[in-house]
Parts: sequence; structure tokens; C-alpha cells
Amino acid sequence: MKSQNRRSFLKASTAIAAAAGLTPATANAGPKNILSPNRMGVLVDTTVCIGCRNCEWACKTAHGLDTPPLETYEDKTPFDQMRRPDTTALTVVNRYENPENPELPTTVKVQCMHCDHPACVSACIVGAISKQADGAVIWDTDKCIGCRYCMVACPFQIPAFEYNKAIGPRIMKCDFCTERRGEGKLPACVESCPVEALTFGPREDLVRIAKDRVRHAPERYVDHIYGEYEVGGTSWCYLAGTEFDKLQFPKLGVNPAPGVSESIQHGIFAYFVPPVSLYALLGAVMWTSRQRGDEEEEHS
Amino acid sequence: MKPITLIGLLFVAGGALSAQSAAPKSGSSMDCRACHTAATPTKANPSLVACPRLKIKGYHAIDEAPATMSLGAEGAKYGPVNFAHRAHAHMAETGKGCVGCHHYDQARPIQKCKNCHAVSRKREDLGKPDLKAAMHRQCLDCHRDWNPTGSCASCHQVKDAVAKAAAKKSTTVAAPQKIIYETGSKEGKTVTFFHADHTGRFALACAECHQQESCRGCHDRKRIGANNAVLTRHTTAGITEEQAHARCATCHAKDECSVCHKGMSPKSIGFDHGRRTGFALNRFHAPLDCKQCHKSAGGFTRVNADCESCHKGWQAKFDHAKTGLALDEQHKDLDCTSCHEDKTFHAKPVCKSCHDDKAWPAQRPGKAVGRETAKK
Ligand code: SF4
Ligand code: SF4
Ligand code: SF4
Repeated sequence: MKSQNRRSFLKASTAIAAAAGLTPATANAGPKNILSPNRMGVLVDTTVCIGCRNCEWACKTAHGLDTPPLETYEDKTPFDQMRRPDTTALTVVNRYENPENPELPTTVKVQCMHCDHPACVSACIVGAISKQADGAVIWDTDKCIGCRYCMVACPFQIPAFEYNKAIGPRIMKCDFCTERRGEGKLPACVESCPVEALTFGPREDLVRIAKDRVRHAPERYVDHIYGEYEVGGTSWCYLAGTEFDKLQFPKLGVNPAPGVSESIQHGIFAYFVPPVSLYALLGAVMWTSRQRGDEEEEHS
Repeated sequence: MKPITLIGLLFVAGGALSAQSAAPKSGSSMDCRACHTAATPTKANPSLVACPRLKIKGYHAIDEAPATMSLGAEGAKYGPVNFAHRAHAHMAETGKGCVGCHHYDQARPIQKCKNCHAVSRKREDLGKPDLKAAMHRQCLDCHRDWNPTGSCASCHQVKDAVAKAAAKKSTTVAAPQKIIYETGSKEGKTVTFFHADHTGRFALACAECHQQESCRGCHDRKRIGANNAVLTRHTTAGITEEQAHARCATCHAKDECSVCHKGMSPKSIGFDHGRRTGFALNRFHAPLDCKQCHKSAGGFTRVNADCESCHKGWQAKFDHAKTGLALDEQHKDLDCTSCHEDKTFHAKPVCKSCHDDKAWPAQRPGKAVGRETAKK
């Protein structure tokens, strides 16, 4: 439903933009923000994860980042600190106490959630980040102007900036292994996980599978699929045996972070059109989309 | 659209309905959701769950099972796992048994894991883990418990020699000679359990005592090479008296306390006669030695609670004044049960069967003497 909304919204804005004097060609060059019902995702089951960190190694290897050999990952001392993904690691695994069994702590893999309504996309003033039909939220080197708005906007503090590079610094974050998937392979982390704590598949199926698991083992899970509704839904979702705030998942509402209108507004600036006429255009777009939204709600 | 997506859509569509009960309208006690994912499965689209984990029926003797198996494929660094299947089957007796691993075998012959678990991770049916994950999960269920680092080499053959040496650290179970339990009571601080004597003399299999315990109870890496002959355990921390006695009680229920608690009489360890036997000892019985009532040799046997069983012909010579109340003329010759219904002498006597207007203790059938406590 939402995808319809978004798509018709973009269509409407294209039409109005054309009317306002922009050529359709220019408008089409904007970010490809599609919320496909067939988008892929990953279900991370933290009750299954054994904290082997194979996924960290696989991710680095697949992205040409520096890493020591896999055997060194048996060393568990990195767990003594809480880590965040950064420019040297697009995903990290953190360890949390397990009150049920202190011998078997809970380990949680962290990476970009590939939000369905990404705040980073909304925040980017040049449309360098986009949500793809396959679920990935990816970043485009050529468009990025290095403003780092995405870093501030992301509710999960994911995008990292290569401060140490004077020339061509990049925004670094999990790209959902877009390249590997293009070759028909699984995301590197999913492929490497020995216990399949990471399940890759259509998000819709993953949510169903997650619900199944909770229903069949209610003693094992808390009845909450993190990412099913958070910030309007994320393509990566999590299951856990303890409340998510104990695993440092931020408590977020169900609304996508900043409004969709923002990205349109930024998009307009990107094409150097005089603001006055465009604020009128923006108003028109919002009005149309609100109308549609209301209609949709009545039908669902 | 793939069928799996259809199921998913159906589930989403059923979401609104699912808030209501999934029990069938016919009033059957079965829960549809044990097998169906949707609240309203249809014949065309039954929305079956991936694996209902039905109980196995095709049991056979453990010694008919393969002794060893080679699991997993040859990798770059790690070889397959030489799995001691029969040894694990014996160990499983202390837990869930064969069904702990063979969770979907309905009948013989036992199915191969890959009949259900796909060999490839990239697959259509994501509902159950792929073969590699299923195997790893199954083994790690226990192996992580006593080996929390989960090192690959603890199961897989390692190809280079150095790592191989590290992998050799097997966790043979060194059964202790004795276990000394610290009872926490002031008298007789310990109970010694002669483990080796019990397993040897009575040829007990581990599973006869050890059920649903942590693997580490026996396979403890910290204990390897340490002196295992004597273990010390604390028994009273966080468990009830019943729990502390449960395991020994399967055989020793009728034994005297002193069989295990050396030099202790039931009294010295605070045996609660009322709670344990249903016969609370009154102020006359409490100071007696156990043997005065429990006369049979070897162990305590139940004593008939009827007064007559010990106090032969007591009614004829009973002097009620001993209780603190000398009965008056009208009551002296009555049968005991006229006032003490059911011969429950510790309870309040009953007046109303004869007197509408009298009640104990406001009115008494006699005069207080000597030991009258006036409590009741
Ligand atoms: S998690 Fe952050 S970086 Fe990833 S898509 Fe969402 S907002 Fe963007
Ligand atoms: S999907 Fe790819 S980029 Fe993202 S964490 Fe996994 S391996 Fe890394
Ligand atoms: S590879 Fe799998 S099991 Fe290992 S740390 Fe990553 S998610 Fe957890």
C-alpha cells in the first residue's frame, strides 16, 4: 500500500514538475526511491547468533576492507567494548549479558537497517542516497557532496565518513552487498553465518517466518519483531529473547523519521529552480498526496 | 507470484482476523495454529508451518544406531566432523533422548537431515534453516554450553598440525569417587555421597540419576586434569528440602536420616513431624525418643495414629484432670467422642450436639486444675 502511495506520489510530482517548466528528463534523473513489495531483507535472529563474528570478517573481505585472517576472530576480547559500524567495518557484533544464562551471552550484529522510508535519503540534499527496489539503501559516490547530513539524520547512527581521507572521502555503510547480489550471490554476511542467524529473503516472507518462530517458541522470544514497524518499517528485522532496549536498540516510533516532503524540497534545490514557484508546487504535491493517502486509508 | 509470497499475503490479510481466537468453531480442543500459519487456512492454501516437530515413533535400541558418522564437507581449513553418534545417543538419554536431534522422524527408518534441510542457503523455502545451519545449531545447543568460545576445532578435524593439537582437548567425563554435600545445618555439616560405589555396585547408567542437567555438570573443561576424586557441593542454596533430597529419595525414601546424615537423628536436623507425616506431635509426644513409638527395627515405619494402638485400654484409666480440666459429674462418664468428635483431641471440643446455649471455651464442663492453659 505504502509503495503505491510513494510511487504515485513521485509520479504526481513528476507531472507537476513538468507543468512548472522542468523537462521530464531532468525530473527522472532524481533518486530512485522505490518501495517494492518484493523488496528483500534479512531477518537477524539474535537467539541463534553465537557471536562467532564470521559475518564481520566476510563483510570486510567482500568490500576490500583490511582484515586479519578469520582464525583471529575467535578472540572474544573485542566484545569487551561496545562498537559501532565505522569506515573500517560496515558491520559489527556486540555482546550483551544474558540474565537467563550468564555463560551464554546474547550477541547482536549491527549494520544499516535498510529502512523502508530512510531518513538518510530524506536528509541528503543532492539525492546521493536512494532506496532500491531490491530493498537496499545505497550511496552514490558521484553525487555526494560530503555534507554528512545523512549521518545526523540516521536514527541508528549508521553512515560513517572517511575523515582521514583528504581526497574523495566516502560515506561508508552496509550496502546490502549490492554488487554480490547483482552476481546472484547472497550477501557476504548471510553466506558466512554458520548457524543462519541471518536469513535473507523477501521481507514479507521474513516477517511471516519471524511471527512463526515467536508463535512456536514463545518461551524463547519476546513478542516483538524489531523493524517490522519501527520508523515505518526496515528491510532488516530482528528477533530477540530479551527486550530490545536491553540490547541497545533505540526505542523508535512507527513514523518514518523526517517527512517525505523534505526530500522533494531538497530535490527541488538540486535542480536550481526559483524557490517561489516551487513552494507553490510543493504545496500542490503535498495536497495531492494527502488526498490520496486519505483515500487509501479508507479502503484498507 | 511465488506460492510462498501468496502464503505471506494471506497471512497479512488474515492479520486482522488473527487477533481473535484461532480455535475451530466446532469446539474441538485442537489448536489449528500448531500446523497452519494462517487463521483461516483453506483447502487450496493450507498455509502449513515449515516443521511441526512431531514426536518420533520409530524408536530402536541405541546399539542399533550407527556408532560413528562423518558430518559436513571438506573445507579449506576444517575437515568433516567425526561424530560419535552412539556415544551421543547414550548421553541423550539424560536429556530429551533421540527426539532432541531427530525432531521430525515419524517412523523408521530415521530420516536423513537433508530430506528436510536444504543443502543450499540460497533457496525458496526459508522457513527452516539450511543443512549447515541446522547441524551447527543442533550441535551448538550443547557444545556452546561447556565450550562457550564455540571454537570450530573443538568438533571439526583441523588440517594443520598446530591447530590439531589444540583440538585434541577432549572432555572425557571423570566421574568423582565421592561428592561431599554441605548441608548448611549446624549439626552434621556434610553428607558424603559415594558416587563410584553407587555406579559400580549397582551398575547404574548415568541417565538413571542425571536428567535434564547442564552438560557442564559432567563435562567441565575447568575440571580436566584437576583432582576429580572428591567434589564439594552446596546443597541448600536456593533449593527446598524436597529438592535437595529428591535424587537420593528414589531409593532411600524409607531410610532413617542417619543413613546419609551421619550421627544425626531426625530431631537434631529439625524434622517437622506434623508437615512430613500429617501427625503433629503434641507437648506430651514431642519430648519422646523416636524409638518409643517407631519400634520396628531398621528405618521408620508408619505408626497407627489411633491412641489405642500405643496406649492400650487408655480410656478406662484416663484421668481427664491431667489435661488441666477435671470433668464435673454430668460429663465424667460420657464417651470421649461426645465432645471430641472424630477423636481429634487437639481440636476444640464440641458442646452444641447436646447444648444449644453453650460453647467452649466460655463454658466448661468442669473445673480448671493444675496445668490448665486456658488457651483454647
Ligand atoms: S539505518 Fe540509517 S543509513 Fe540505513 S537506511 Fe536507515 S536511515 Fe539510512
Ligand atoms: S549485507 Fe553485505 S555490506 Fe551489509 S553487513 Fe552484510 S556483508 Fe556487510
Ligand atoms: S556470523 Fe552469524 S552467528 Fe556469527 S556473529 Fe555473525 S550473525 Fe552471529
